Amino acid sequence: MNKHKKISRRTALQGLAATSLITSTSGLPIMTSTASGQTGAAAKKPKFLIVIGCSGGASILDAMLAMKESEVKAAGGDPATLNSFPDSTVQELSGSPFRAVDVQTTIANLGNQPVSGNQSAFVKKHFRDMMVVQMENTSVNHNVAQQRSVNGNDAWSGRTLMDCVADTYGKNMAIANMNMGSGGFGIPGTDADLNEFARQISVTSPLFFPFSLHSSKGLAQAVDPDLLAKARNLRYSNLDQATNFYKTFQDSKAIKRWLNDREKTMAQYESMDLINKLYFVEGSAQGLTRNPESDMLVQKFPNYQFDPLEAEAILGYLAITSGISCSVTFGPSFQAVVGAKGLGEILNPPIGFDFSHTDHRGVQALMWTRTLSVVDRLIDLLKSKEFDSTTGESYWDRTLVYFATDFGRDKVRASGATQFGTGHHLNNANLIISPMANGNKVIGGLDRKTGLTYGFDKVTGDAKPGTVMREDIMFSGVLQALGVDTSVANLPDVPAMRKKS
Amino acid sequence: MRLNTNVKVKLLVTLTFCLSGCIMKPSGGKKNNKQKSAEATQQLEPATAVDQDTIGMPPATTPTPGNTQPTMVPPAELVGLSSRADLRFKPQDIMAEDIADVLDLPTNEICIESGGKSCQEVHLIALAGVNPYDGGATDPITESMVTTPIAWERIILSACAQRVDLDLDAPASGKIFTNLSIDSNGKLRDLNSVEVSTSIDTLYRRAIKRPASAAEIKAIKGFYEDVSKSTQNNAAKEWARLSCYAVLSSLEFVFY
Repeated sequence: MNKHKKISRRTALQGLAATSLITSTSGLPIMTSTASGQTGAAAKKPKFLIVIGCSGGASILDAMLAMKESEVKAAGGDPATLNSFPDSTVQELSGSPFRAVDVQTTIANLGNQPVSGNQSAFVKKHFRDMMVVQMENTSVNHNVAQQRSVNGNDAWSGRTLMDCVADTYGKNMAIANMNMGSGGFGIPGTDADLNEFARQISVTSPLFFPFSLHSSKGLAQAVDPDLLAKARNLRYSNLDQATNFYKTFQDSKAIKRWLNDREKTMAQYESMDLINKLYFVEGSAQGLTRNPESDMLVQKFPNYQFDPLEAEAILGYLAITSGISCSVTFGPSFQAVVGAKGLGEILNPPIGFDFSHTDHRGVQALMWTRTLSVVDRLIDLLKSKEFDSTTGESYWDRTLVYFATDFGRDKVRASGATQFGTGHHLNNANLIISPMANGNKVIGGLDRKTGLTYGFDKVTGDAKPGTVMREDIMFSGVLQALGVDTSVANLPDVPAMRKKS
Repeated sequence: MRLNTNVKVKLLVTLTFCLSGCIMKPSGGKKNNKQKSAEATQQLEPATAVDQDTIGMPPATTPTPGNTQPTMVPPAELVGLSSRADLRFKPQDIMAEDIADVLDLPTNEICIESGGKSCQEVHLIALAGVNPYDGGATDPITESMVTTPIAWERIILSACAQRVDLDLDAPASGKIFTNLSIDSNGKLRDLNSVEVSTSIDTLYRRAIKRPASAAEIKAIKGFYEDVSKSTQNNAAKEWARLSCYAVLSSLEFVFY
């Protein structure tokens, strides 16, 4: 007689739900689904974080804090040897501290590829929601610096910004923390106490990621879902539990995690039909129906099939507006991206912003223009999508975009050079765009004699020469602007970075 | 009470084994080789009060690939919890090779996603692969992701569908579901035929490297009853495909 009573799949699921192991693995509490990706009882009204991982070092001196040669000279610096621009190329906006440089140049090491920089259109359109915040990073190593730019240099037990936002708002979301970032931006946080639902789900291919959310849709041969359910019951009850293998190793953490995800989370993803909420690629496949907004999205981002940045923007938009995610990470990576015209059209040079080692001006212009263009379109979409019909809020009203980057670039150049290479430089500032940020402000200052930025008073935002702000300040300010309670981690309060009420 | 050296040594050894997860059998004094041999033989033979559901079938008369020795399954009462259950799920390269070997399919064709990429490539990171140049993922995951079991399901459903199609459409060259008698409606003529039991056992021997137990054969045959009630046509094919799926996605195949 078999001493071990066989447990039906239904009983097992109920048992799994009752154990604390549910929270120690990457699953979700059993919930009923609603029309959106959100599930269960009323959740905290979410806010949304979008982290743009600008891989390689996005220099603020080549964008919103660009310096005119005359200003450098007036400050006592040498405009010929400092990274400053002819006055006529630096565009200013009345009523705003932001600059824009629409650099027209070529990149010699990309076969003299022409670059037509365009930052001014973005600044004119979004300046009210833009905030540039001084930060001096603490590592010139790409991977380490990227991680620190999103975890505040271990400000909160190894949590990333994305973890914290997901933990606050993502309890009832299927994939609260979706990370399409690369390098250090894609490395998960390390806080063992973080709720499982807030842990990041890594996405390496936005085009194919929806296939990770269903066991059979999209495969060549359809599967009857009822029969599949019966086969799963057979597997769990008769082929897994009854074996000596299971009896011996049932306490294995790996097996418990696997069973939780296989028996519970997968069933949940399939019942919520996440695959079809996030599927947008043109063409058809068995069991798949594209998200209703797909045609509009692929028109907005026509290069999505070969430009990962555009595909990521689409997936991020769908994840947020389908109620699936509250934290999305993506951005231009180190991977070279070639446009439709082939090698004569490099959309993303190898090593991204870091190609500035070979040609700073052209690469910074190319990468800033590229990144701002994609974010501009994403903001347009979020602005036009209603979040709350009672308040009239759009998704944009509750979103913050943080341009994370490794570090800045060298401030100097060979005398008079317009094509020059730059190395890594810790001193920089970061762009944040959000209706919840202290918009149309530069938080901190810039010494035009040296090209070095300096810090600020955390409360008033007044520039404080002789100081610099580190990653933990940026980390705290971003979270607080998003309404995340940081008191539990004793993080510094940075009211200067959030919108004045 | 002072302990002599011999007792101290024995206690120390026992403690060491206990801490390492093993239990020393109580010793009734020194054994000679004949006694030790008799004990060892006794452990290999089935105990008298056996659990019929967990004793394996007698070994097949024809050796199956990779399994030329009969496999004995210990009785249920001798199976205990491992105190060091340090298991790994098979990473994508081992998984793909194993599935290809079990089902006799080309490794790069076991599963193709819509769009033409192999499933192993599409789900690379979730399957513990690396992607250092494109995605900066230099290290494989050490714990399964929430999407890892889903990726496994997709690959196995696809691969099993291919093998079942090959076996049932060309029985002469079949590898697993061979010589099944199927009527014009796609239903098995005789669920209790030797060929049905042999097919299930072959699946187990190829995949799990052991015979199917009587209980497993019974359960999988019972599953056919469910399938045939739900499916007008091709019940045999559906049953074979989903049985293959259930076995290859079971914990015993996934983990090592």
